[in-house]
Amino acid sequence: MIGLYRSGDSPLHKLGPGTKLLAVLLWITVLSIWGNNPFVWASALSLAFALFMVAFGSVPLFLKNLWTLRYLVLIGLIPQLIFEGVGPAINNTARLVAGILVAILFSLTTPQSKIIDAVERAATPLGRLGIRPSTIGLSISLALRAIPMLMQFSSGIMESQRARGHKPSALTATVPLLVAALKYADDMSEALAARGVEV
Amino acid sequence: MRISLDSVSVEWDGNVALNRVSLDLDQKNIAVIGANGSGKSTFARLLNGLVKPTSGRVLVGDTDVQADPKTAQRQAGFIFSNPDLQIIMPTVIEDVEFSLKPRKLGTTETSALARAALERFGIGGLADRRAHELSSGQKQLLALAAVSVTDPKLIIADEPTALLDLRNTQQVAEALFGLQEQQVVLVTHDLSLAARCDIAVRFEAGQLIEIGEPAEVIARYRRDYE
Repeated sequence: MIGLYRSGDSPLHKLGPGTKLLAVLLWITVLSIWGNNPFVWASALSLAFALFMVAFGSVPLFLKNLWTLRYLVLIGLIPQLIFEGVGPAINNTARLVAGILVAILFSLTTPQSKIIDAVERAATPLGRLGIRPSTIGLSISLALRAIPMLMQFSSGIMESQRARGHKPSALTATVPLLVAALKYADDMSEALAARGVEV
Repeated sequence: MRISLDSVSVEWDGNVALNRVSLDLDQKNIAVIGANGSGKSTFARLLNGLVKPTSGRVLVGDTDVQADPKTAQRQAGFIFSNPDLQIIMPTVIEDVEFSLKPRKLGTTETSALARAALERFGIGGLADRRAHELSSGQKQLLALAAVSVTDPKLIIADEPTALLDLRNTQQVAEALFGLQEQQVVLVTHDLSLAARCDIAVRFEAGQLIEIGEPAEVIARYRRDYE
């Protein structure tokens, strides 16, 4: 969801975000219940590939997204190979990949603003409890927006550690990162006020 | 639009950021200059209610900023020196559309207005790009587009070129000075930009030192530090 959206006019792009979100939830539920059957996960992977082709018609894009899951696959696969054996390890990893691929496809074909609009609509009943749906939507936007910023702060801190002859260390980077994050939060709240955003 | 400060002071934690400042300005492009910590940014933030005066009164047009901060914020857009802080949505077009959300327009109209704003600042081709991947200059132009799309009467730019190289500074300056409909308050250390304004205001240590022709105000400012 971190700004993955790629514009297009495929049927998947045109489908409403609420419908797509429900479809993704259904997809994940099916995989969670029946996904350890090789026929189910193989069909799911094939369908995920077909949906990528419908949306973008690009095999490299599908492979690129598959490649981004490599560490997740390794982290999931190795302990399962050790503790559960080859069959269950492959079944579980394959259904996980099929599930994530479709979630990625959802964010590739749905602008974040539309996702947030859908979340805000779904959260409308919370208005009766005094929770403003727009605040929920804005919180999601800001949380997602903060990820690249925190990565930027973190790489800047690591770089300055290297520049001063130190080995980059997550431990010593924690305090400056925390300070930078708090300053960012403070500045962002001022920027929101300047843009007339009420929270 | 007339900007009036009547004996305005701003203090926090025992520090005086602005001390009994009174002024009246209605020029199109207003430069605000002075050393770091002189009160320039505090002055800028007073104009759209980001900072509240400890005493005195701030009027922008007919709006008393403290009494009606919502109107003050609607009529004055604010550009920060670090455009990363202004970008809220992930893609360029979505960030401009975000500014229009309170108007509750239809999707087509919102998108058309946002694209027109991006075109106006020469970044129409970047509409679908991820905002955090833009160059600093492009981000600042995006911030300008996101602010100007709501048609504010006043744009307050607080050191908008501080983080930019020469080429990007020129781009942002052209965009700011090219604004036809809006009055601009430009807080800057770039004296060549200040010189292009219609009037310059100089602050030092929270005091209003001088208001006048930019060339003369800048010349005296330089002399004081030589």
